[in-house]
Amino acid sequence: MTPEEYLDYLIQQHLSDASWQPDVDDDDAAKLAAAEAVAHLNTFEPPPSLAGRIEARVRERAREPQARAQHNGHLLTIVPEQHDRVVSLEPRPSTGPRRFRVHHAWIAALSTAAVLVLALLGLSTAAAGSLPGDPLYGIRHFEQQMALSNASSPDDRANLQITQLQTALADLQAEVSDGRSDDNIRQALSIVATDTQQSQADVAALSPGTARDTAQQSLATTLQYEQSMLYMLLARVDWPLRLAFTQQLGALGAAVPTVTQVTITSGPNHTLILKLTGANFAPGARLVIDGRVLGTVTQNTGTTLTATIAASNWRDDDVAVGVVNPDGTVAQKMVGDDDNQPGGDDGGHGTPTPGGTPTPGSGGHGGDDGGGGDDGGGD
Amino acid sequence: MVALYRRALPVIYRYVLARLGQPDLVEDVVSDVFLVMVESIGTLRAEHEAGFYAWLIQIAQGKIARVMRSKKRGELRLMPLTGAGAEGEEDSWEPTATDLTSNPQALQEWRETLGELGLALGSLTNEQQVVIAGRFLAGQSIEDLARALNKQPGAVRALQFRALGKLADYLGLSGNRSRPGRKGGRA
Repeated sequence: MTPEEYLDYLIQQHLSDASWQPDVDDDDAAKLAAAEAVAHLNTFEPPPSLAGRIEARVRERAREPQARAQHNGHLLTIVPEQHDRVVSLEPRPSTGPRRFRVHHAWIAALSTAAVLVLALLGLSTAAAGSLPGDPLYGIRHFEQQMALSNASSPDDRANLQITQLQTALADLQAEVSDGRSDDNIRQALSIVATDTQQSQADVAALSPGTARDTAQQSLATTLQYEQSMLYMLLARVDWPLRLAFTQQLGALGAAVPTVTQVTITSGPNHTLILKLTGANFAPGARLVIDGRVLGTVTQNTGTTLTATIAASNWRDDDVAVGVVNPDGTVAQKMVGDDDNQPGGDDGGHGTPTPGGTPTPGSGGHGGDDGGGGDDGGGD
Repeated sequence: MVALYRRALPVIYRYVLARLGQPDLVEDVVSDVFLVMVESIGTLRAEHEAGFYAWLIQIAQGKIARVMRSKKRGELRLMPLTGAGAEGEEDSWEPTATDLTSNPQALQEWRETLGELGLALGSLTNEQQVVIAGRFLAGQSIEDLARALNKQPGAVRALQFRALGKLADYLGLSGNRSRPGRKGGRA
């Protein structure tokens, strides 16, 4: 047994029986006494009103969205002097001066429990109704993490994870219905994506049997609901969020469009012809330039979509060229200003896909369908 | 969460109290710690209670360091509870506890205990403080702390060993042949 292990053994023994008096050498006795000195702090109780004051400050903070936005990690400034504050230090009676007493329970029973419970129930209740992006949402998220870590078995954990996914879906729906900010909705969607992946992983890790079958059925129903809900919400969010929603639908296995290549050629009468190559272009798909539906689709094979736009609708810097399917799913690809000169090198730059994962750059295929056009279109 | 918070509040309060001593500052710092907790808990990746405590103590360390810096700049009048390190300032701490006010000697002992412990804890590294606070204020096991700090239990025992040795030296407990509960304290 090493000295460190022996000291820990002594501490453990002393924790379990304060009257235990080991016959130890000076060094160990000194260290045990130092431990007692620290444990002596457990005789100090927080002022009963402290929890209430903390709760008030948290609530005040929650009502200051602007202050929160400016928050950079330093929440409050210490007020140098607050002499009017009632401060209480309430050590329990000591049996004598300078005797560090070790208690069987290192965390003493709280004399302030009632106040704390009330205050914290307030916090917890507020957190329970919070949504991603709310100041108190972190508490709720942490509660969920703790619940998962405390799950008694893999079956319980998988079922709890599915339940949390269902909650995350409800949160996402509420965020959109309430007209919350894109950042908040994006955060809610991110939680849905994470919970979806985790649910699938947890269920997949279960041993074959009834419990797994039940969890799989529950997950399948939930994922079906998730897909339906995402389709429904697509029409209610703006273009950047549509890209993110579409990516999540793709993760669920839905047939969503992708754009891998864009070529631009000059057409007659001051027009440009854009040819998009990709997958899952549905009948009725439309061309989208920088988030706006533009032009006329002249051909759609499912993997290529050709459309004509007025040259005046084009500009010479980075342009997002994409498609929107009738079901609301979208895809786009950035075309840089070095690539979007009609007839020149086309469509080459990888661009964030709906969820922000860069697609393989398609660049360097100049001339595969229109390289001859060199009329400097795009004015 | 309520239960966790209930357990965490006194732990953080006692830790900050020991480090700073001055009750009104303690309240400000403890409040700040829990405000940070509320706003940042979503970023916490701890899956065990010990990790939660370690996280809070680390937040408290940052807040305490800030107060200490302010003190050095003279922005705060931080007055220690004891004569040690008081630098001639008047001790203004007046606890409202009624059970000790009738016993001036006992009250003075409490003050000295806090003051000495605060200085002693401040002499430890941040990691040692997390171990000591987690072990003796939060009641966490070596194994829990090892998980929280992503260390082997042996490494945490070594941290505890060195920290207690340092505390014993600082508190004047080393070299006395005495037993727990019978310490004479600093000579």
